[in-house]
Amino acid sequence: MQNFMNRSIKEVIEQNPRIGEILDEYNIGCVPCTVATCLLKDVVTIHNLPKKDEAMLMYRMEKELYPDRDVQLKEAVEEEKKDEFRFSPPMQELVDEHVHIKQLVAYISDVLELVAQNEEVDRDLLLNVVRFIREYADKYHHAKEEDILFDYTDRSLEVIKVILEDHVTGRGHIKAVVDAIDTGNRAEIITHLTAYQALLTEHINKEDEILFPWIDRSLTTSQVGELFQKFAQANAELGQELPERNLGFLESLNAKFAPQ
Amino acid sequence: MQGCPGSRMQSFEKTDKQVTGNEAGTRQSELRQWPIQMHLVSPQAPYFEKSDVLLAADCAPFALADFHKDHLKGSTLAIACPKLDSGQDAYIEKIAALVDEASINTLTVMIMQVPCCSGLLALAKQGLERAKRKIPLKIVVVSLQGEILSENWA
Repeated sequence: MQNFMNRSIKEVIEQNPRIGEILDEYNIGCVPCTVATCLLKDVVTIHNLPKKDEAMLMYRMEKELYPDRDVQLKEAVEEEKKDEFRFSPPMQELVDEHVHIKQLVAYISDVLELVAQNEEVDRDLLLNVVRFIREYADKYHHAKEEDILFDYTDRSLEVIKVILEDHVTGRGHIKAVVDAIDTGNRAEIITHLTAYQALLTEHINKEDEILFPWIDRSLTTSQVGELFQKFAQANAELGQELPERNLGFLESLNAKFAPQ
Repeated sequence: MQGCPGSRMQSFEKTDKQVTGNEAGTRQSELRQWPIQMHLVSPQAPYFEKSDVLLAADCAPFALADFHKDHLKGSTLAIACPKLDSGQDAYIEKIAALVDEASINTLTVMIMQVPCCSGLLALAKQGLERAKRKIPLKIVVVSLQGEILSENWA
């Protein structure tokens, strides 16, 4: 079949007119085309048929070209059609980082359960949680919002002030957690990590659902390109190791707490 | 048989009542470079440096009434036809060179809704994959009667 797929549609139809009729049933009208230089494989893929229709078309053509062959109809999984709002690449990068931060924030419940159950505080685990928040959520992610993205908005807007205030409040909670780890104060650890979890959950929802789509719609094509390069530069300055070690820690939490 | 959608004959009759917008006055061209055909453009041309490049299918500017005002303005331009142009491998190299050598800011690919036109998008994607730098890619699909059917970042 590959042999036919790499031949021009004109040549295939001239030798096998029935192929032209089959294509026409799928609204691929190559027979009257005066150019007809497209390869059969390109004709099939370029028309972007629903996957099931494409599988059936391929099956029928192969049956026609090789009548004695035991041709199998390939199972096709339909791709979901998405017509909803799509973020620009730099904004999508921030939303993708939110996915990781939300995972960490969700695991705070499991971490606090351990803190509540054990008299001895698991310092390493807690300090790794703090490190993720300070390095990945703050230095890697929030810095891009504060130092780059918000320059493309009006910083005096209330919504931007609220978002920046959330960052400050979050840093306060994490500082209090570090102090409580040092003194072994389990109640303070639970209080501030719980508060941070609630704050960040709400904060990310606000950004993903309202703020980021709004900012994205206001960006020009040129600004999207600028943001993309500035984010890439900011990431490069911090290096690969920072996200890698923190995402590695997230994977270890997944292995520790995710239901098997 | 209806024929290939890319070359099927269609007529779009319009009455005076369907004409909207202000027809008075004239507009200046937003084109700021020459040449524009993909085989003729040079990625080394200074106007491509850090620019937002619009790679438009040959037919698109004729379908879009406000092509200059809404799409060409502020961009550099290259045009091509994925159905009829020969030597399209050179286009892939040229797109990669625009990204790496001219350090273009973004690439917008404007194609018609006819199936064969998506070949231009495929070429652009291959060029971007070949390039070392990464840039955002936008895709604009235009209907035969000049409506924007979709405008999305890849």
